[in-house]
Amino acid sequence: MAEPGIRASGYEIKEHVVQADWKTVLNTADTVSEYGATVDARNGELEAFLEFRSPAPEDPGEGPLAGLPVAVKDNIAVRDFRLTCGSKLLEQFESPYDATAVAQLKEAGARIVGKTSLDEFGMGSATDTSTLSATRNPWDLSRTAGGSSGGSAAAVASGMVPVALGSDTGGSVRQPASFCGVYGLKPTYGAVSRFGLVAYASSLDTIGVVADTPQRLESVFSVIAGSDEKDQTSVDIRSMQVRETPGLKALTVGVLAPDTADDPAVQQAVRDVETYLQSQGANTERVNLPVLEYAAAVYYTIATAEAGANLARFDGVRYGERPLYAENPDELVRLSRSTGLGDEVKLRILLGTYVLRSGFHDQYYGRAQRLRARISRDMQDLFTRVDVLVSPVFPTLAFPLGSDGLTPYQRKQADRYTTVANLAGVPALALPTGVYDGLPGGVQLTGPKGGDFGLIRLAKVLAGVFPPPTPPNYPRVWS
Amino acid sequence: MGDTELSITAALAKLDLSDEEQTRFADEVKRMLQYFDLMADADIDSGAEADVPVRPVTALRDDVLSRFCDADALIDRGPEIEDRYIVIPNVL
Amino acid sequence: MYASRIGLEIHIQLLTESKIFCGCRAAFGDEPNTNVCPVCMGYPGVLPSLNGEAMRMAYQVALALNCTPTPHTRFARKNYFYPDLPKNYQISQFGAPIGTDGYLDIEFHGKTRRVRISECHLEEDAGKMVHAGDMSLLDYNRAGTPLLEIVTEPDLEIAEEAEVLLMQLRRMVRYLGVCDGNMEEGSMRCDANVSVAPEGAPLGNKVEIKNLNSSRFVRKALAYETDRQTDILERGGTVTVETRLWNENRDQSEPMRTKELAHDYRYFPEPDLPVVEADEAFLATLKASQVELPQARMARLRQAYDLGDRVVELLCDEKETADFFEAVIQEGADASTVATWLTSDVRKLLNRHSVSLADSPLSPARLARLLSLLQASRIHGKIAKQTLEAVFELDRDPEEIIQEKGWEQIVDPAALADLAAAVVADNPDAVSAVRAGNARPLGFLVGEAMKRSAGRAEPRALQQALKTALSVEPLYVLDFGGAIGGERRPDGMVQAGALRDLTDMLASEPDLPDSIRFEAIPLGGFLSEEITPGDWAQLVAAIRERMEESSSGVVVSHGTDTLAYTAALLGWCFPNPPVPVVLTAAVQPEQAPAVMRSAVQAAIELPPAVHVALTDGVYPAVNLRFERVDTASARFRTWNEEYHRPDQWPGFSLPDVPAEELAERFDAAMQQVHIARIYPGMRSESLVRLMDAGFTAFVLELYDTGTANLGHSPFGLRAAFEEARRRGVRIYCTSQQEGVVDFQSYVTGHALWREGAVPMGSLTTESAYTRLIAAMVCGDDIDEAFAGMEHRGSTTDG
Repeated sequence: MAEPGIRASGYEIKEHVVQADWKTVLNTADTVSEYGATVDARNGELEAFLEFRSPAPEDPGEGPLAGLPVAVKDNIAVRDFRLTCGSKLLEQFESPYDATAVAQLKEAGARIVGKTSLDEFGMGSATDTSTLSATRNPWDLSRTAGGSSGGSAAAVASGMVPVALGSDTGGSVRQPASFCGVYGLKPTYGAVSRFGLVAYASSLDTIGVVADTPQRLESVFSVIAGSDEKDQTSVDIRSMQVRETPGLKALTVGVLAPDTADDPAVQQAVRDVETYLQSQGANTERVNLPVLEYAAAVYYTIATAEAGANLARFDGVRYGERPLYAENPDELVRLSRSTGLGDEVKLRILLGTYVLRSGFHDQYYGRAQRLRARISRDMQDLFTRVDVLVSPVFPTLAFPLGSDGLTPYQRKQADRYTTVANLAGVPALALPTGVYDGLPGGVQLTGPKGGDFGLIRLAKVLAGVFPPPTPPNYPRVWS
Repeated sequence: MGDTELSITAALAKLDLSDEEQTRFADEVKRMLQYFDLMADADIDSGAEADVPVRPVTALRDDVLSRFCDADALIDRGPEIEDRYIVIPNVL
Repeated sequence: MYASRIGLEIHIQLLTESKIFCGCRAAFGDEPNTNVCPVCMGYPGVLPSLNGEAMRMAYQVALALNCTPTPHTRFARKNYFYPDLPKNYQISQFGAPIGTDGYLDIEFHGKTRRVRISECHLEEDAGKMVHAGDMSLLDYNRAGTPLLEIVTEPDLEIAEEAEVLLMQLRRMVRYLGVCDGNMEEGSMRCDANVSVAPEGAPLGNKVEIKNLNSSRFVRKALAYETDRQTDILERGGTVTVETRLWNENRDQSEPMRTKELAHDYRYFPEPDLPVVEADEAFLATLKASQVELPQARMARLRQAYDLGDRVVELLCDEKETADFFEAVIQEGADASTVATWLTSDVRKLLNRHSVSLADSPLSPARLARLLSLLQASRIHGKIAKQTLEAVFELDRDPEEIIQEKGWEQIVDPAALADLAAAVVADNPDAVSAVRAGNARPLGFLVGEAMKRSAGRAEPRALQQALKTALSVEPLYVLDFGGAIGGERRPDGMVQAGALRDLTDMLASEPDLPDSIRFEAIPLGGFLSEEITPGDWAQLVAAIRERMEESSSGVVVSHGTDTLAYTAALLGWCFPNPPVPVVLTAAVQPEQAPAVMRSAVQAAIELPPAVHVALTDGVYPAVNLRFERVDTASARFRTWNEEYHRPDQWPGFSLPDVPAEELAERFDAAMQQVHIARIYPGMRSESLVRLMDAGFTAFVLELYDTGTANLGHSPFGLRAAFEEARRRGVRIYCTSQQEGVVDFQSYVTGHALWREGAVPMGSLTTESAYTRLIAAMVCGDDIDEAFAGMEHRGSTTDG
């Protein structure tokens, strides 16, 4: 693994904050204000946070996450924080309640310090569709931090917080985590309650975790995993019958056959992991997934269909921004939505509305549902043969922001590696394997339903050989 | 999708599109729909049902009151309020 | 002929504590936006959490409606924007509803009609919108109330059937305890679709009618709609497929503003909720715990306690009442007595105190005790009613009340015999008059004895004691005019006059027991063709009074011309008299002795009921016809032997009002009712003019099996029927064809209903008319009176 050629500019981090254990950062008035000032300074550059609030100093107490500062993607409800979803329509909206996952974090002693930037309503791959901010990659400010949980990934990668909640509907935790060189878990569908996650595509949405280490990923995931009465699609994966992930020697690993069109660094990362696992005696086999060809099409059909309904509630009637004057309710709703929602969101709503319309439903939505069923079954079959699938996260490393990057259409096609896990409801974890030509790269591990902890265990093993890379001036005190 | 279809769709979704937006979205939507046509060639076996969560009827929420402690907080978020009612222009 | 097909979509709010998808209270009438939370306000990030009880109730209704329960049911999103819909989609069901393919058997005018239920599905209610000037006000308290939608197939034909279906469904869901069925408060709502097509043709274009917020609106709106569509088709037009709103202020439906865009609900499976599995064990438990449903209970009570349809219907309307009824019987009371009390006096008191049976001071044990006091004659009927009132006012036990108030009667036969003996000893003049054959002084003696007992002697027992003491049986003869009591003038005309001395007339009658004593009570010297409302009121009041006193019976002498009317009237007014009431008449004064003899005989020998005794035999009171066979003789005959089905045409219970008020009621009723007979050339307009003149009900004699010109010409009755419907005027139909016609057996009967007229089954015009008068006199209001005109029966129409 080559030493990274660092192009990103470094930042100043005050020594005692850096030195402090994360558990004591929020202990005293002094440490809290220094921490806050530092984050403010860095955030100016990265725009990872939409809202950051230095919490009141407090003894960390006893919980498993006692005193741990946690950032939360701004489409997850935290009481009395804003819940903008990156949308102008909700720019001033404050949540009157906590998401279940947030309540669980608080209960475990974690401190919510801010809300991170995202693509509007989670719809995007670069955290640049929001009208409120555009997040930059800590490795290279001219590049994207990925999306839609770009703010969470950048906040963790830059050391502003050790861990953050994100949401993953089609890769929105894993892709930015990978672009920023940190760990990102998209749990089994339902493993974490979705209550409080502003829905984009309900049957695909998951709350995921972005963390600096697989250990921290595990401790935070352990706290938020579980079934919740407020989310009747949630499940307790601890009570699921899942095959134990064996040690490396007995491990059967499926490795996705490389696509030569992918960035060489992306192909390299998969080969690096494959080579290592083979060297440890694991059984590897190359796997072809024909469903990849249309996975993104299926995904976008279903996701936009659900999104069209999910976003219908944003009408300016009960909350949110509404125009100063409207002649009738219909106009009120149309004006609120037309001025409050951004282009990418409108595009997806239009698509989603269209694919459900009578006359088109069968051709699009109906067909997509059946193909989704097939993808589910293919994945289920696959995990009867292999314990884990190793694949790329995204066909490229972090791409440039602006017109040098990928077009919206290219971005959507590129979601094929990540969307499969959402369509099949299985867990997937993005982990860094090193720095390739100055940018972090990594792979995705995908497992069977309920196999989340198995993936984390394997990530821990791999972290020993592929230590998490860090951008310049990254505070190395807790790892 | 032609202009008419786009207009009908936008009306269903309560989105007003300017002429410029109409053109822009028409292109983008057309491209995506063409992409969706990939699905037309895919092999579908009719038996497969989407994998959805199932719960026994006896394992649903108990019918007990759990009042949201702060209904006023919800009213406060309303853009226009009168006597606890949310106000909108008349429907007629 | 055109046939209409009506299907209903009925929404019922389920009576859960909390809403369907959140823990907020599901209640009507709270301050706006208080029972709300982020979930039911459609806040960002929230999820529905399905209420298990709502599901249980939904399955319970589905099973009660004979639906096949769906083992794996699922929810779907119905997408449309409306300000009262917080998420701008409604969580509903599509494709896998709670239950499918059920039915409900409705009882409609004596026939059972099976209405298929296509499905029952669960959904969430929307909020409420109040319009105020240039703004609309939104209240989301109702948003998220569980709503079960019941969809019928278009198996109904006429508006009245829809009303009946709603009424039965309401009763059923109240029995199940899953909905209060209150249409005014919106806990039960109805939309309908109506299509009219030529008889035998496939379904016509469908029109949806919304906003039917009471069962009355349902009837009016659907009748309006079937008429509207029939009109269009008759004129060669085409019915537009559309949605119309019922405007209750204008009594008409109006097309809903056509939106530029047709609805496209874009249903898709609700991804926020799991598929819900209702397994065999769950369904079996549900079935096992199901209460006895109203139809089954009515059938059981009818059979087990031998009760009439109307009584059973009153008892079973509320489960509470039926439970109460059976609880009183459990306490040992007699079923028919309990039924009578519950459906009359108790019901009136509940209304007066505005209280439900469960919340009232009357318990089954208390009513049972009251009735046992009555049965043991420790109190008499009037006191029993007073005691019942006292129970309501004092909330105390009847036994305590009568003791405290000193209401207990003297029933001890020995004490009463002593009393009678003393009175007999002290009044020798009266006694000798009675012994001589005159019953009149008997009343004086009873009064004397009553005085001595300070009013506490039980009247019937006291009378019995006196009769025993005197060895006589009184029999009252009410002289109600007619030739029987008249004189033949030299020119041959009969002049009204007093009944000749009965003692003389019957003195030579060997078959009569010696103990019989007569009292003739003159009610007016007139001929029967001269009867006025006041005369009828007087007669009814006199019978009411005398039948309580007499142990033998009451004889009414009458003229022949209107005997068929008066007999039927008495039949309706006195369905269960304590003694026989016998009417009699003579065509000629010369026949008087003979008919009187047979009447007195009947009063002594026949079971207690209203009878008509004539020279040639004894007839039932209802459906009698007077026929003059030739110039010299005349005879009566009954029209249809099967008419007399008290379960189909039960009588009424006379209100406990003074004679003067009774007279006012008769007068008022007879001013409102008109009898008309259709004939070639009759104009619809003439009936409308009569309506203009203030008549609110008609008995209309149609041809044969109910045929009539129902078309739209000036000579067709359609216009009159429509006008009647619009004004709430009732038209009760009988046939000019005597002897065999029972409208229930002909489709024309059903067609009449469709046109808004009520076929009177097999009743004669006389019987139908007097039934209407009796219903109006006995009913507390016009609705109750009209309800009394409903035929009840149990023939089946598959």
